Amino acid sequence: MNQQNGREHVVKEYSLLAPEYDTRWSFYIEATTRETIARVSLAPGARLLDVGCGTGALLEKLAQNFPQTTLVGVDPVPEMLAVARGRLSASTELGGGWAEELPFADDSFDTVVSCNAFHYIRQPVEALQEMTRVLRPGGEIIITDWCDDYLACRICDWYLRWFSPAHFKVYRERECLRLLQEAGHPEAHIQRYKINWLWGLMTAKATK
Amino acid sequence: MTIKQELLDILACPKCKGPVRPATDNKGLVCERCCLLYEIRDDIPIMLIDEAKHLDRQSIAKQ
Repeated sequence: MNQQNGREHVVKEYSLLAPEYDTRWSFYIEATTRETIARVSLAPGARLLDVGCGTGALLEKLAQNFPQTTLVGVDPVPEMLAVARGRLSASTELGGGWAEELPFADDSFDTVVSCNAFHYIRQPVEALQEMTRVLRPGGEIIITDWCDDYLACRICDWYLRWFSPAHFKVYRERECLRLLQEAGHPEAHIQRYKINWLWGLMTAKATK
Repeated sequence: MTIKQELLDILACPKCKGPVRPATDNKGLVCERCCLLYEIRDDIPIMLIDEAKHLDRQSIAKQ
């Protein structure tokens, strides 16, 4: 499957899913955004980018937790962004954009986060390089996603690779570290943890 | 509603990473280097290369 086909599937699947996404995945969204927020620290005045912001659940929580910051979200699916626009205040900025081709100037953000989006990215090293490019020196990348070291994630990843064309790949902790190293982050580190008895996540952190 | 200056200051063309400017009708963002016009849809700039409108040099200057 080439990159373009994969992208078309992501847009098609999520444009249809957008109206019901938040209710269908409420437990999962609540847990993943909670775990991500717990690992974010933002100084007043900081600027944050959420890559693959979807319906804006993480941005909404970030705005509550860090009110004196500038929050920006990008996502390639306009229907998901429309839901985000409806729930977020006008001070949160949104844009259409792919992770591999971020529409921002170099060194624009203090923090770049991504939550539940990494397993859709067709070119993960390019995406990590782009996240690094738009980050200021000393800024932090924080990525939360499924972790293939957990059996439930591995089975789900295998199933989705066969039956969901939008899905791309879930990584093991060591695979994710290797991608971060390829993207220029030998210092990156990963925490993995369960959000219930079955499902496991990991959060990767790297500094520019 | 136009795009806020703070966002314009950091927005860039996803293709060349160069600056973009608002189109004269405020309905899009223009990258003069790539001759691309990115649509602003419901106040959201759609910075997707595949969805951008490709214009010739003369037309882009007028946008």
